[in-house]
Amino acid sequence: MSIRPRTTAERMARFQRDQETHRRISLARRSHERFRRDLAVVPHLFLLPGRARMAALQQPVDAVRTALRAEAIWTLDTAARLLTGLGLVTSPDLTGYMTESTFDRAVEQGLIGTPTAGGLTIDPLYHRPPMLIAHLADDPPPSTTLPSGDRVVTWQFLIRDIFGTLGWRPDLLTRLEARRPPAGVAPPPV
Amino acid sequence: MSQPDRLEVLELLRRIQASPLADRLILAGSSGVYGVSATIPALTEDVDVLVDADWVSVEEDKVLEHMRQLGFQHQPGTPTFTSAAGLSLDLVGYSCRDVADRIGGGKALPVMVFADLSRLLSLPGSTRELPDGGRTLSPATLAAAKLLTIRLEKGGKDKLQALLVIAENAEDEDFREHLRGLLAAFPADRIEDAIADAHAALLAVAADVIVAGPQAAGYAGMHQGLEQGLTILQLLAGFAGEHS
Repeated sequence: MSIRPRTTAERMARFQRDQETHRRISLARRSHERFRRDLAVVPHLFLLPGRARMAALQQPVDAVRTALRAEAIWTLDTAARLLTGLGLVTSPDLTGYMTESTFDRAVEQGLIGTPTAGGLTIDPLYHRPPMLIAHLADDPPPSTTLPSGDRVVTWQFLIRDIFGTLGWRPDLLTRLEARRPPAGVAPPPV
Repeated sequence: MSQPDRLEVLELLRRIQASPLADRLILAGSSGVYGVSATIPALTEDVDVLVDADWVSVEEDKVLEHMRQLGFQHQPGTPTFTSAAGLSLDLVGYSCRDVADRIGGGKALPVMVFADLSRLLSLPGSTRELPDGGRTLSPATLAAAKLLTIRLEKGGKDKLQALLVIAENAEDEDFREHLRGLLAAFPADRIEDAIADAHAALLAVAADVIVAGPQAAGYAGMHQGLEQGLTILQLLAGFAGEHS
């Protein structure tokens, strides 16, 4: 690689090229109706190292969800399915906030297996057994309780979690919001 | 070329202050982070200093001579000067005459002139004196400049530094009001793009945090600062609380 500094003319050409590329990126973002509204979101990192744990389910997904119902606050794909009947990703995992003792108890009770060391993602590009993916939190996020007894993060926090875990996905967010139950209307039965 | 550390940059500014170029050169770019913070990483391989490009066009020969006396050799056709010690210094232009992206300066010393910097430098409180000599962009002006900078090859570095400067000055009411005023001086779509770019940069760091794992503990504190900076930026730009 040359260590010759770029001439001013070369810098100007590069600057103009970057400006043009950025203009196209800007237009692509703005082609989504929700662009401006989503600027208000502060992404939340659900898969924060040191906080996130993952272990394979040892029982059917509904049995594990029901067993943890009183202690977990579901988010991401699990919350989306509970709230709208439609998930975000194809991997049939449970994703939620809980305390470390709840997670440990799930292991002891045989609901989940030994926590895995790697592969922490909610959107794997390979097939794997259904997992419980937990964000261990002593200070739980804001939540609401559904008629089923399941607790899910608030809608606003769900958007933050999606943003911080899957990136800005206007396609997913728009699809999700289109199925959001109106206030006072129960979500689809689980 | 060597990576300049903070002490080296501040010492260079002291030397400039003692030269005829005093008050003509303003520390900026990523090296400008050294002028406003002792903790935020500058992550730079050179020193950027702002200069009035219209003044350079008139005083070109003198600028070259003063830089030579400071120990810097000019690289022909570029705005770059290098020292025997390996320090690289770039002149970055602004103009008091117009607000346009163009090439200015002189034939021997052409410099890029940036419209955004010209606008920012025309506003009150854009620079400040360093305690030990030399001028630097003020924290709010540096943050605004970095938010508005478009350099695709540098990824989100400028945006991350801006968010960290905002977070570091979060409790300073004067800083917040200054930054609010600077943001208001630009068209709304520029600020929207800046926030969207900051979002993208923050998400890239989030991906890094996840990949790096628990052993990269330094990321956790940085990520908190970035979140705080983004929250304040959204508030100052009028985008907080629109989602429900």
